[in-house]
Amino acid sequence: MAGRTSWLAAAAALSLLSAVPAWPQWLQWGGPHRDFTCDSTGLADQWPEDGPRKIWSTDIGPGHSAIVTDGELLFTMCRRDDQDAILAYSAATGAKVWETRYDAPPKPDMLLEFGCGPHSTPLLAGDRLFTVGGLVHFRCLDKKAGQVLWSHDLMDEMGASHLQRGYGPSPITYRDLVILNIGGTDTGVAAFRQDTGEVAWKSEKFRGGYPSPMIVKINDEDHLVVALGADRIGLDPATGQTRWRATVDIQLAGIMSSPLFIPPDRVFFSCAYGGGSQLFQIAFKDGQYAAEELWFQPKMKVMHGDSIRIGDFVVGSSGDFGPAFLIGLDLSSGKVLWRQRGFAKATLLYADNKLIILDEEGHLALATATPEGLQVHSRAKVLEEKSWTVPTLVGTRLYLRDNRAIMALDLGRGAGASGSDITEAHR
Amino acid sequence: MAPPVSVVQSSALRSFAGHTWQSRASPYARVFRASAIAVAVNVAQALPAPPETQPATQPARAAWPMCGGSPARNAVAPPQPIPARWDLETKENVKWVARLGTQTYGGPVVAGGKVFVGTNNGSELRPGITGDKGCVLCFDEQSGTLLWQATHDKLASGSANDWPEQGVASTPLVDGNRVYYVSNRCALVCADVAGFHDGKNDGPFTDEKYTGAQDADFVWMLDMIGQLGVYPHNLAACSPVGFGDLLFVCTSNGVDEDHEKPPTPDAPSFIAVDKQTGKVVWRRNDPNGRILHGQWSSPAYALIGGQPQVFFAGGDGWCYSFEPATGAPLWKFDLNPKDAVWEAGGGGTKTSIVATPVVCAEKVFLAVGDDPETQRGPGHLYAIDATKRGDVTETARLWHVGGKEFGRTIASVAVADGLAYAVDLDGYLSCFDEKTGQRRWRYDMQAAVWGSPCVVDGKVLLGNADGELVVLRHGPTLKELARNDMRHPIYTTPAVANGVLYVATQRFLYAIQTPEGEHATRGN
Repeated sequence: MAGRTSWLAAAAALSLLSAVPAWPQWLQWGGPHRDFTCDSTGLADQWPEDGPRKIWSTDIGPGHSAIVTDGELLFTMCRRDDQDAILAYSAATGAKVWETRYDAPPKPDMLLEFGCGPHSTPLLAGDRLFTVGGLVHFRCLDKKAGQVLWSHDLMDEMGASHLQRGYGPSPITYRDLVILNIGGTDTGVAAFRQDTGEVAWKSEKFRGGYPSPMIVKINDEDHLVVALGADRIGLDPATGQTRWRATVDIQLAGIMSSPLFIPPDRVFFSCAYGGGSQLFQIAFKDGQYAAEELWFQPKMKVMHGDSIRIGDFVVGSSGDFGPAFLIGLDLSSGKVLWRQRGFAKATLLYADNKLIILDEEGHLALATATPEGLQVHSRAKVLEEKSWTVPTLVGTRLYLRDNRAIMALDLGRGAGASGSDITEAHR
Repeated sequence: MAPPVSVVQSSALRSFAGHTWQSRASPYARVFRASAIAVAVNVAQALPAPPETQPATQPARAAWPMCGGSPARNAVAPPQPIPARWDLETKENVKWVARLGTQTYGGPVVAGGKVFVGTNNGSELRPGITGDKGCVLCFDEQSGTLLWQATHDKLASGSANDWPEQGVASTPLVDGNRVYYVSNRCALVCADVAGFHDGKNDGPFTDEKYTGAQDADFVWMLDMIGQLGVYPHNLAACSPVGFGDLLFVCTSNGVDEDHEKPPTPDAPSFIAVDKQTGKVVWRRNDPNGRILHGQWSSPAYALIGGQPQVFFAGGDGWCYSFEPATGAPLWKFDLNPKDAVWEAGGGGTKTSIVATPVVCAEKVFLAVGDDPETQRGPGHLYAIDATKRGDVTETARLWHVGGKEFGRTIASVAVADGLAYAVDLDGYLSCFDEKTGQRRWRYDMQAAVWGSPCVVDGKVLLGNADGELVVLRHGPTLKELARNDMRHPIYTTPAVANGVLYVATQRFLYAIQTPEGEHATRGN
């Protein structure tokens, strides 16, 4: 894990935080390391029969955006009829602090049987909150008051794609920039200055796509890695110049899940809809980067959730049409180590050597994953509606939502003891 | 358990001799003679000339000319040696491999020395024909060489009616020198099995867009959108069935893009069409405004106690039987519990039917299910007595398995030797006692299953969405013989003819054969 640790340090240095956070935070899609792992400790090994202790819960409204937090406020998005709503809640009590709305009527060419999102997860940087709605309304807000500081309507301005079911990828920060997928008329990805909202760069043209970008260090250079349709690309996050690009089979163009970085130079992608998982090595030869496929495994098809790397293997929820399986995949060979039924399509978190599983039917589970298999220690139904949102873990507190409600659960040891809940302890 | 060989062979020969699909084409007769050694013992009993009105209940050994192999749709092939294992790497037991498009749902059929598959244009096999299209490919049965390709442009209305990249999802029906299928454009197509290789452009349809030697010669087309006002939800997918002069087709008329209601409830759901002219003979729209989602099932045809019947599964969750000549209703059966509630997206207790009815021993075997992407919910599998009349929901139910015991499915049942094999979308393959519904065993396919089981040579064959073709022993005790890696997902049902197993994955068609089978074929 030495390589991993150094990469985590590099990723932390990349983040905009100039000071050590006062309390645990989850500022972006994927959390502190943008890979759905975090450094929480003290998680209980078992939960009570009916699930972890509920600290609070409240109705929020439809939407699938994940929850980010500076430790004090929680931020997410939901839909109110033909409007998008950006919401701030008190982490301690679940009380709503502010709500900012804007009009976002759906377009006639959208597919709306699963709603109009929002799917994209807000991004916190300093005192600012960046959000993107289902119709690619990009907003920068003051996180304390919810006041809009600047905005872009990226469908109008750049021909950005609403991806038929509503824009979904989550923005990322780089230095003084915020970067997001566009899938527009002449640009695939664009960067904006955080302070003014001014366009800093536009990449060459790529299709739009649901996977969220990540920024990693390969060959001592920064790469913004993202999957857009059949393109797997690495850009220079400072300029938007393409560093490498691999065009994969059209059957892998329906990719929605986020890539996973395997330091020092490998990237894992997984795609549902009859797709599969691929591991690429990003090689630097003769002054040029090239992405080379190391293996392809059609049996692991992660639809819209995330995948978790644990040592030498990857865990993901595989399935598109029909049943889902949790699958452990050997990173060096691409071989399926194990697969297990019992959860609908699921999103995953990893902390304190524990896998936290939330399936789309609202079952939350605590498990141990090893190359030998998955051992589920506790499982409870905690959400009622469609649960497509990856939960957020800060300290021992888990924030999660479905298409209607948002809640806080205590995953700490000795459930019920508030001392185990870092946020409460801080207060 | 050894299948009762003599019975199976007799019925195969009877259907061979009397069934118009096979009796027209001479190659069958040639193959029949060559394979006669294996079946000669039964020839005398097997050939009492049956009436011409007798539809086959099982495919002949020499052909698998439609979805399910015969109008009864019961995918049980007569005895012929089929390997349990093969190896795509070493080519062990692999006769040939042919490239398909990139998404293949129209499973292989075999007749008259040709193999047909519905697929998309993802591989752009024909020079100059590029981009997303629906395709039917015709291959030479012996070599796997591509003979011709039928090409259909996508509908301008896009995913609402013709989902991108899905291609032709209809499994073709071969009848003598004609092949019939439903295109991605919701047209019932009649094409010449010879393509343009016979040097003729058969009509009335003569203004083909593509007229190269490797393009399709269309004979007639029935545009079910333009001529019948049908609104296919996402894709028209019916695999036609036929008997005598008629073809029977489910139109795929469905709900609107917002999943609220069928925009054209008065358009026909079920039609009978003159095989020679493409003219509609009768039409019915029984599901009407009660269509829940799409109508992606395919009809079956059988003779029940002297009465011909054509069976349609409606998008309202009912199975209907009609008098084939007139469309007069014979019976109907509601597959959903009376208190079931429909919710778009699959969350409710009520659901549609996508599977094709299967007929065996005067029973219809059928289960509920919906678009595989919708949420999972309680399933219902029935054995229905096909001899009753009227609303037979209460009276014709012979047995039922459902709830947590059997999930929703889009696959058909295969019934052989008193055992009914049924698989749900979750990938659990069950073996039931065909008479009682009592479960003998259950096998975990470990992946989603769209295709249906096929029984041949004492084996049950079934593909899964992870690209494995699983071979189990046919019988009341479970025994796994092999899990064959096929590299790409399988959403089709295997077909068997002339000692060769055909498996279509999303991208390739494999002809699989034992060395003994190969020897027998060469003997021809």
